[in-house]
Amino acid sequence: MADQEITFTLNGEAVAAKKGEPVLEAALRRGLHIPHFCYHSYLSVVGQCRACLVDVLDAGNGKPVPKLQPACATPAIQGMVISTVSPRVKEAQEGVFEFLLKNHPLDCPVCDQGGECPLQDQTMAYAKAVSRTHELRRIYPRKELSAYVKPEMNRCVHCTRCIRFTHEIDGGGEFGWASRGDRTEVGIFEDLPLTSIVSGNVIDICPVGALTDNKYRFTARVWEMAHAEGPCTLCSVGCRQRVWRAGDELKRVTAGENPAVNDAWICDVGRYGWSGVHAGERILRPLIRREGRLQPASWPEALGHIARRLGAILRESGGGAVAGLGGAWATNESAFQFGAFFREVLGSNSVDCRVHPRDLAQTEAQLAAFGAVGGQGSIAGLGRAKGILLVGSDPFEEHPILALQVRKAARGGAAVVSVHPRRIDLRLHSGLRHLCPLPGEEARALRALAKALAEAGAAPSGEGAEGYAHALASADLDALCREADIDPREAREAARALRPEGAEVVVLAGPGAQAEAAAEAANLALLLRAELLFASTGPNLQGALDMGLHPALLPGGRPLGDAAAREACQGAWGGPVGAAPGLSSAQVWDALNERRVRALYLFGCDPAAEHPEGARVRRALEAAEFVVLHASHANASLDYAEVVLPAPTLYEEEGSVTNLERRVQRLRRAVKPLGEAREPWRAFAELSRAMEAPMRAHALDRVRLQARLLCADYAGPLSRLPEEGVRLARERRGAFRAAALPPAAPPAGGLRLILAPALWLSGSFAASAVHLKDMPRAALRLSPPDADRIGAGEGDEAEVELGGRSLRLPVRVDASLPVGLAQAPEGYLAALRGGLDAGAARGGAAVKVRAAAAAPRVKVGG
Amino acid sequence: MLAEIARGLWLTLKHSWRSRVTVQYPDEREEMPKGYRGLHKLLRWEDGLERCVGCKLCSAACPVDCIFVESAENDPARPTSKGERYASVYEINELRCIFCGYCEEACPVGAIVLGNEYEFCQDHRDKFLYAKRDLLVRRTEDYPELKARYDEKRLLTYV
Ligand code: SF4
Ligand code: SF4
Ligand code: SF4
Ligand code: SF4
Ligand code: FES
Repeated sequence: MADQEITFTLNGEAVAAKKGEPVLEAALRRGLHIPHFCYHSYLSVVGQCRACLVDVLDAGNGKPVPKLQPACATPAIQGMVISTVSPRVKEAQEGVFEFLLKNHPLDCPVCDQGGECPLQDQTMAYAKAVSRTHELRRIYPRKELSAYVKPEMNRCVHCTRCIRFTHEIDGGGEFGWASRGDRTEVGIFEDLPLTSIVSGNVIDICPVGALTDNKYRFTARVWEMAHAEGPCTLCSVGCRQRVWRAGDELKRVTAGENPAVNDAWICDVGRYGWSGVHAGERILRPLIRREGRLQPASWPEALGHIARRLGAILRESGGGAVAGLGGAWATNESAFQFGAFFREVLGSNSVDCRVHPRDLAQTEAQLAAFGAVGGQGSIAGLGRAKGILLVGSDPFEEHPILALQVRKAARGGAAVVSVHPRRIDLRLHSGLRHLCPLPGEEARALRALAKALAEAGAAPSGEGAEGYAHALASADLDALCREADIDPREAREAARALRPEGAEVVVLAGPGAQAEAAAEAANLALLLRAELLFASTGPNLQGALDMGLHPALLPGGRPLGDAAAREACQGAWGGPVGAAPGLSSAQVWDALNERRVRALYLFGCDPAAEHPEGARVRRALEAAEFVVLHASHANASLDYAEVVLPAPTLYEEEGSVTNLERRVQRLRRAVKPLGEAREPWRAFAELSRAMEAPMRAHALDRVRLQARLLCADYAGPLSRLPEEGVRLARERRGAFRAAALPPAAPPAGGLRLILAPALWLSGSFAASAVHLKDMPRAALRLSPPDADRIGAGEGDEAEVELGGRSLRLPVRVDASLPVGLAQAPEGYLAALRGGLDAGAARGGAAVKVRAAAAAPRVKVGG
Repeated sequence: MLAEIARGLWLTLKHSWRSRVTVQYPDEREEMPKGYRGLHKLLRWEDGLERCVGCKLCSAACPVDCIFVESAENDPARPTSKGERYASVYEINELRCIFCGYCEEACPVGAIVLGNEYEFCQDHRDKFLYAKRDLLVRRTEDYPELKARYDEKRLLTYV
């Protein structure tokens, strides 16, 4: 009904529209312009700027509407006849613009919006050329907003887009207005600073220069720049964005539009992460360790060195002695070539893109349940779901744009259930239910939820259903809840909320869904017949897996045991592919210690810092005979490398990437690579030549051709990609796995520490992004009673002691944490080289925290 | 043939009666007409602040792309220009310039004008890259002929 196609006439031209959509939207889509300020396709309609007034000559019933109507608030009706050029519309437009300009300062030459300003452009097109204003203009007192958003409120035209964005989309509600008439003042509340992680979007939507980008301020003019449009590559959501450059320098990033992924929003990490490209510890040229020090070398020298060392190891111990890790931060093409290099040139299947144990657990759980990774859900589905189950996910901190989609669904009436040790904040007033299990007991809480669902009538069906039904039947809800420390009543309520009749449910598993919880999330998705999304931290983990960076899977996700698949690879690459699975990232560390693996190739990853069992990993890296680090930024693993190869960042590379919903998007090079960095796929081809086993794919189209041959569903996307990308969905069918839950951990006394990723603090790229330094600093979060107990207030330093090491962090008092639980950002602790190992212990590590003596304040800036 | 010689001589004679047009340069110099487009000048306001606000419109208007501007934010305590923005770098490549005057026309504050100066030979090409210190006048009042030019334009004024 709502999607019924109709046509109406605008200035004599036929315009197609969906019945009931705003006339303005249909006209703009058709390329007919009607001036507007307050209307925005992804915000609510308020019809208050009156710039869009049109004359409805026939309202579809043969009668004209006596007064002018706002096109943004006029629903399209079949047979309407509308004019935007009649004398009374002209008069109205001129009047509206005259009033808008009455108080608008004429400082376009100073204003950063100049050149891309809807007020400038529409004034030129629709307003009178002369001004009759002689009065003094209104002047507001100068205020600051945040490190990212620069206000100049004298320019504000009171369209309220910023207000509606913060209330509807972001939910923080920071913007509001005061006073009336032409004294109306838009601003933020004094006790509510603009700290939201999506705050930068107000810069994009403000139709004038009232809110501009503080970091981009005065650095360039829009007409001097060119932009590349494509997916953001800082997390696995892949929001569409525009990367702007002037000359060879990146200048800024603005949001692009993709209704299937990010609507028209991006997060501030995506907006400012580019600042890590030119800054920080970029690796600019190949390095070889000589006399214990890494020294600059040329590409041929470095490749020759690797070829010699690997060649010797291959001759002595065979391909199995070489392992490769990484690929989740690379394009599909480079990931494909990395796998091909290992399987074809080195004859090793030990290649794995899942460096973090969490990624390993989540992908293996998906393989067990569905036989493949990803493709079980969509981001758009999340936005229109009627029920959402969040498992170990705090989307505002991990994948901010997913948080906006969850909020969109909740605004549409969805029930949201969060299973997370913390009471996560989605800035929702209602509709969010928390089940807060003890850390590490998420799986038990999920099992309890499944049991409650079964009690409410949900029956598992399909493969493995009997086993699971049996497991549920024999489970005791109260015992499960007791062990997980959740309230059975709440579990039952959550189960009822998640089962709206016949409605779509989406399960979103975040970084907290580790080990058994990942498998249980898959079970719940099957039980609820829900879409399932796993939100990984590596931006292209999905693509890398599809390209075959898995010890037992070939490109296209075909198992290594499948002789036909191996033959296809041999046909494409030329060399035979071994049938025995290689070592996964979990097995590689022991193998290195035991000298079964002698050489390790690290491709765009940093296990020394990012692996939760840092000490064990570092020991293994120490034991490795030969380590190559192929990365864009210097990181903690650099200390163990014998050869270092420079890689471009994903802002500097052409290719394709695949996001967490398995959407393949085209990545365009925004600037040319810094220093001597060259595309990794090329580097692998050159390395193979140095090893005298040249790969066939020595050009990008050759790599793509091979990838198309071997990964069946990528054949289309890799040859022709539409702008919004292609989502490679899979059939939603899987098997229940009724694994027994590990015994409940005995109740732990004292304070436990959990690590959770914060998008702006993890990884060497975020660490070198200078503009991200203004995000909230890395902090130890404590519940108010725990903070009181140690006598530390907000911002005080605390000394964290864990496993014999200690570290100082500022304290953040966070009421979302239960008593006895502390949280620190993942990756950050470890990024301080030789940091703390906290993730190894299930259920968080026991930690001692005390208020630090005030005297020597160590600065631990995020 | 004789007639032609006579006609030539007549022409010569005629010109010897006319007033002289040759100027004894460099001892004598012509007065440049109003609107002459010579070497650029960057002007100041009466209070000494720079007029240029670093908006880059001149550089956008220039058909040969010979103006380079970099802008920066004024220090409110010691502003360089009126408004928040000023040109931290302003360079014109006078060898490339075709003296079309578009930059002057584009400038919303009457900062860049083409002056009367036409004598600017240099012995090296690099020296034709005129930086801000070469272009900026000390006091606009010293150039009454330029003041008249921007007074004719309707300029932006600042609060
Ligand atoms: S600040 Fe910008 S977006 Fe907000 S009301 Fe004013 S003009 Fe609109
Ligand atoms: S949510 Fe992820 S993909 Fe989207 S803008 Fe932020 S970092 Fe980029
Ligand atoms: S006079 Fe013309 S060519 Fe010369 S700098 Fe100005 S705009 Fe450019
Ligand atoms: S000279 Fe004029 S046009 Fe050029 S940057 Fe300065 S103010 Fe703008
Ligand atoms: S756009 Fe219609 S009233 Fe503002």
